[in-house]
Amino acid sequence: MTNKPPVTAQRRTLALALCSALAAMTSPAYADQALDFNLFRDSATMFRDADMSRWSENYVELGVGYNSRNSFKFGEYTGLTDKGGVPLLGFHWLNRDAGNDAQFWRVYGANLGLGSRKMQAEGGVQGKWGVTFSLDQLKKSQTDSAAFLHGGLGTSTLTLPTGFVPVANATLVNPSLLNPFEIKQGRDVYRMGLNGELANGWAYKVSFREDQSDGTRLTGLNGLRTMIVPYPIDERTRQIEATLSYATKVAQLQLGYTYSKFDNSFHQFDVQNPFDATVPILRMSLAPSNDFHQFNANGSYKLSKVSRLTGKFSYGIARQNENFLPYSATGGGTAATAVLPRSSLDGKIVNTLLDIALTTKPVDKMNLKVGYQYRNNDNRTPIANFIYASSDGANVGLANSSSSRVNAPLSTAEQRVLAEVDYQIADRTTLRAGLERSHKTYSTSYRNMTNTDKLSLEVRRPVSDEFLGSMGYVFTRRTGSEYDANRFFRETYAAAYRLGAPRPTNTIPSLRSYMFSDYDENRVRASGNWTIDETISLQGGVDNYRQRSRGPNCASVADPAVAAAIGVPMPDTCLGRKLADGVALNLDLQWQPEENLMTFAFGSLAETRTDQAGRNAGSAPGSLKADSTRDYSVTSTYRDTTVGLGLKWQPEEKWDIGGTYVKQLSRGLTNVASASGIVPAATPLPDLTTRLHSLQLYAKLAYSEQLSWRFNYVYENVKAFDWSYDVLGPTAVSGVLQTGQASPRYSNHVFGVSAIVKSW
Amino acid sequence: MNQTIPKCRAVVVGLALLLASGLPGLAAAQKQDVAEGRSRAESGATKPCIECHEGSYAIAGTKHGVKGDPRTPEATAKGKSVTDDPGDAMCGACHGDLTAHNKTPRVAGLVPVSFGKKAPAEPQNEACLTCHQSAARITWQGSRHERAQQSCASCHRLHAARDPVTVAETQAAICFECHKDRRAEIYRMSTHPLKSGFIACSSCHAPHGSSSSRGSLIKDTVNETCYTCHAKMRGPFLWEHRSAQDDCSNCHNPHGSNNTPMLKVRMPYLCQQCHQDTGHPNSVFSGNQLAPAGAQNQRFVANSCANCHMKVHGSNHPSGAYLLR
Repeated sequence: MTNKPPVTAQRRTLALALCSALAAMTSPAYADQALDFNLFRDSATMFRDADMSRWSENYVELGVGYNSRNSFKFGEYTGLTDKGGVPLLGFHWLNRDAGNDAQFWRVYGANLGLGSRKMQAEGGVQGKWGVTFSLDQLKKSQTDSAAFLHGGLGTSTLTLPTGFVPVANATLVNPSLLNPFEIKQGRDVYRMGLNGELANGWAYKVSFREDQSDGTRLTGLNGLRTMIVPYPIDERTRQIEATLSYATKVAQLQLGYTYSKFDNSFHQFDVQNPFDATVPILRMSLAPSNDFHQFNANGSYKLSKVSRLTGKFSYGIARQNENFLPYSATGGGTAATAVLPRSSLDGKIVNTLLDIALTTKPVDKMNLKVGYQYRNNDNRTPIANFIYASSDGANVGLANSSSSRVNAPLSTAEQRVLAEVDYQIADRTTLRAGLERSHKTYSTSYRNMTNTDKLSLEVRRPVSDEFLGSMGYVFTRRTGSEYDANRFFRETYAAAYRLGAPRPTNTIPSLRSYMFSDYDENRVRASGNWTIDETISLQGGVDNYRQRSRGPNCASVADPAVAAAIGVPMPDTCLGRKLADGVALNLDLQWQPEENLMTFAFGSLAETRTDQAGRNAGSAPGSLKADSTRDYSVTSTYRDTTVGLGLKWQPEEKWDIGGTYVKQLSRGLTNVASASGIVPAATPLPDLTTRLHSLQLYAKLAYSEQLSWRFNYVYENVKAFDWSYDVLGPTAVSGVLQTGQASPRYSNHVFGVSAIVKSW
Repeated sequence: MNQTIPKCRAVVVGLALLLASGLPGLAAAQKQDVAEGRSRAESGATKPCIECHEGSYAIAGTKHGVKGDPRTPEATAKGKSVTDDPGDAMCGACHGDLTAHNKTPRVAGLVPVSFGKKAPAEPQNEACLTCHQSAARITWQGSRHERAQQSCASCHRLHAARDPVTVAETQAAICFECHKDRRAEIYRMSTHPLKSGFIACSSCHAPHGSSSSRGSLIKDTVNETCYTCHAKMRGPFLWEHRSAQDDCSNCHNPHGSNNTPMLKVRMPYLCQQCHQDTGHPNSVFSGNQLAPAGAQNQRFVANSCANCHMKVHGSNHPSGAYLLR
């Protein structure tokens, strides 16, 4: 026996440390803590030095850092948005009485000098009671390169520049009138909790969370032409969760209550219209305040030594009753005279869940689980007729026109049964199989009902003492009742209008919405873990899935090129999403040539693809909906290649040196092909690209038992290209006044030096 | 607008000062404890074990090592050393009867319960579940991790003062040991703040099992889980968007995407997978719409469909039937 952790444990620990370092790439202050928490060595050292009846783990970090340039994206969630110096402040102090008192307390602060920071505190008497408090402050910037025509940015009323005369389209807006404004949000999350142990196996836990958000976000807004503008955020979500639990060796029970309340200070957003003098104000509704109550009971009972029954029941009510805005903000147009059928929604959704499962071991080497679930999402929101007007002041038709619309709240109910079995067919070799059926009904949708069946098989076995592998296969099939493309039209348009409607449906009949379409999905997974020798281990895995939608036979695709581009043999869904597939490959290598040197590398390739088809029937009714010469296909492929390298080296007792590097290349390819009836023919789109280089280096010098110095260097380079923003200027497209924002492109260097004082 | 930020800064600074002012007194008290304290190692509670397993000293700094909590292995050991009564000793509370191992430590296979990935999961979990069977563990049996033969020690480090898997900043690294495809996803341009440690995998997922329809989530459904933080999307709305009402993940990939905001596919193509209605939803969008003198279209660039249909999560405006207002 040795008095040191085994090599494999060290390797795992170091791997964790490196992964944490990877995860902490953008924050040197945080990275230090992440690594410290993961190092087994530190804990052991401190224990030997400490009093055995009182455990303490502590440090205070004080230092300075320097960020080389402004970047909204680099600063996302880190607070390192601005160029310049930043204080590096953090602390952690855990104190635990391991003797009879069982008191404990802990305080923790991270990144206190940065824009995004967190603080936690807890304390109590272990086994009796405990309290917790935490505060997270996050900053996120959506863009710092956007510019806007309006004044009053950040408020709920945007005004046009003095003297601005509405123009017919966005190309006529003078770009010099656009003023820059950073779109950013701040979020403060407070949490408080109380928990305790009561007599005879009972325990309670109460937690409160308040989430405050403010700032601005971008939104589109339609008023003859459209524009991108910032709307204000001042929102608050409060959540209370309380549980009472009981546990014995045989039975466990937990009763819970959750209350969540969302409050929005802004219910409307008014913008002066730059495109239409007859509709001077455009008013948008903002997210309505709402609340949610839920009761739940969760339990488990040990029927025998090998059998256990578990169950859950929950009942929740989501409500929203914000007063409706008027049809017209300005009093203009025929909508202004229309009367609202009710002043507020009185919306209510009642959620019910019943989940029962039996796990047992009917024979040695076999585990069996059978389960049943019932979910009901009962939307009891009242139904009424409302007038549709595309903007304030618009003239709308009468009650028998297409402007008369009926809301159609969606209710669903689902029943699910499943059986899963594991059987150990040989030493360390297990065969797993599962069967599942879900039956789901919908109140107002293209289908009344869908059935989803799932079959899964997996085998795990060691090929040798050094190599453990597993392979699994899952097949899923969804079928259902007749697909009724007219249903939504029937249920949301006024009956008087439907009778005389020029088109019986506004949906092309051969479209299958992928939420409801029939499909078959095949998924194959394999993974292996190979311990080559005491110093090297290799892990790899592959995950491949292919979901193929099925629908009406639309074999009449006229253009062979389109048929080839669509690439899915008929019969399949004619229009809509036809295929979704993806593959993920991962390879990890850990090499520890010396006890004080650990290296780590990983590579990952992920690709997802969807094939879809459309029919450019325009607004014409009838024949064009069946005209396959107007078909087109779109293939969207997203491919990421990620590699990472890590090193951790302790050349001597006092020094701890490490670094990580991650490179990710992402490419989004969009291939559009059109049939002969579409003029002009579709042309290629540029690829969406993102390239990330991220390097973190650190060196830690243990100057004394109490004092360490830490030196950090972080480099992150990102170049992204997005045709949505980077090709056409803010006033280039007549129909939309854009912001001129650019995709993230930055190259930031951050240097930091800090003193870490511990074990005082 | 940004009034809450200065307020919170004040709170942070105040608490920091409060803590700083209390540190010297607390430190002094601790030094006294050190001076007066008696080494538990010398008292013999776990001495025979730690003579060889030096690294396991750290167990005494964990919740398991607290004598004053009658539920812990330390309290169960009742001050006995492994040589007095191996079955009752602290280490034996989890590792089983260590008598044979103690007598012949070089002989392999004499520790009844070993913890770690290479050891069988079932005995490990049985040892843990002897005490830890309430709250989240109610649903452990039959959960995905249990069926995948994961042991508690696959994720938890029982001898660390702060178990990394319970710390938001370090949890993801442990999850990524198996869920490697997720690791790459968090480096994409549009992600949750997992990389910076403001949320953890367990902010959404229940690793000990749950009743959620998929993904082993902390709430009953995908949407309920999302509404924990994104309550503004909860509604109910007058005008619903079917796919949003049904499942947020119909459109979003919560682990990360380069299509902001975490969209699975770029708009307008994402929308056209369901919307091919007559009128503009069935338009063909391609490079033509980007050409300087081409058929530029307000439905393609910037926020694409959401340039006008911005209320994609539902609208409460009485005239919001097309999610325009």
